[in-house]
Amino acid sequence: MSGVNTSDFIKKKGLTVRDLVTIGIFTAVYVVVFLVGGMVFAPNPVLTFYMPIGCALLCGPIFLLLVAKVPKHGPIIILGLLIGLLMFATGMHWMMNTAYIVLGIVADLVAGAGNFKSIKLNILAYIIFALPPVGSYVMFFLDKAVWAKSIMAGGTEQSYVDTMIASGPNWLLPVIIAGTIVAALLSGLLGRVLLKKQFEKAGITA
Amino acid sequence: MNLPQSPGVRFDPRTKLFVVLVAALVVAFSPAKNYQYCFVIAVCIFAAFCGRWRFSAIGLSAYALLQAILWYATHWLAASTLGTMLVAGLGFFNMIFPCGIAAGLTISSTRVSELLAAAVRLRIPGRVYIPLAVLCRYFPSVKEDWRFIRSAMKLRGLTLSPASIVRQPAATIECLYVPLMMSAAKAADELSAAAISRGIESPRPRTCIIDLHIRPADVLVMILFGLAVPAMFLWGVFGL
Repeated sequence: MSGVNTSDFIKKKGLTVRDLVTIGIFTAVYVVVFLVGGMVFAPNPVLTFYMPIGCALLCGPIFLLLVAKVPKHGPIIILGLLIGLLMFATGMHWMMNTAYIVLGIVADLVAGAGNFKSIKLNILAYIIFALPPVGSYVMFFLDKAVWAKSIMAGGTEQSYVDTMIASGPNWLLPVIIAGTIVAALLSGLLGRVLLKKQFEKAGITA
Repeated sequence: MNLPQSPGVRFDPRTKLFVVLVAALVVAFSPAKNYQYCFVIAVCIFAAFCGRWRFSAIGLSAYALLQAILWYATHWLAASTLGTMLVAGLGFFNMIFPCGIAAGLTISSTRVSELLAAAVRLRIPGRVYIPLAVLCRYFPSVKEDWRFIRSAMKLRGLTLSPASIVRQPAATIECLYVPLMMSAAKAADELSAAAISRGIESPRPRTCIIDLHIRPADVLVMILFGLAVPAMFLWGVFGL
């Protein structure tokens, strides 16, 4: 075994196997917590609009701990890519899946601007990363008729769509976006407290 | 993960991934309910050929039951609150059912090592497939952790009910996140040590004891499911 070029194939971007495993595990936790936050809202046509807020409120500490454990370029991009793939495989709206991949890259660059050590920039990165679930609702508000036609063809019942349209006036979109940002900010601040109080003391951050 | 040898055809994981891809397209662009019924039945037939008889039967009956409840709720309970709630709640699951069943079949009938070998053949970089494999492997553990954490919280008089969260928000949050993330961090160290000792860092190309080949049966399945995509658009145009 030549010790020189061991793990060359993944070390190119500075990510070690340990980093990759950490990313995988934190993605699993992120997705589970995301689903807990989302499943309360998504199946209900009145509450469905608040799904991004519920998700944003819960995932902050996990995101921040992942960045603290692997403070390099890559983890956030891979997190976004994997969530996008998973959401795609479970039939979520394509706009949300693409947004995860694109905003994952943006969030990575934002956190990277502070070398992944600036807690403020990391929280800002989380706020950006919490926005993708809004994507599917952006499509809804852009053209409700097209949206209704497409999801009814997909087997959703008329009454679901009616209820959804009735409970989704146009002013709701900015409210959802603002709500998601505020929820993500709170979640990020909570994550900061947890990091300081618990995880740094326990020595599990990088 | 060890799966019992099933008597059916062993399809290549790439074929199953292809079916998941088609299912995702069906959920996104499905032209009509009837088309969706056909697609779900097709996936169940495919599951039976994979040797997953029980999966196929359960999936099909669950889908039939879902349709029955939806039909009943739309036609007989239409105006009532219960009807709207039923239709709304189940409608979402109805929408993503084709994807759910295709993804469920793929995960339940494929070993992780097989999936990894397929990922290597598909030239997916290690930066993506290693986290993906860990993710699939770790899901059941999160569920287990969740159960333990809840019983530990109960011991301290905390539950996940809204009342308890409002009463003791800080304690609830800490008792939930800290153990969940501590055990995730510990598992990351243990799993990576295990992966390294099994040679994941080896520069040589990955080998797999399972012989992966696209066989005639795989080609047939891919053609049949591939045809579902143009069929979907034709169905939409001619409005069957």
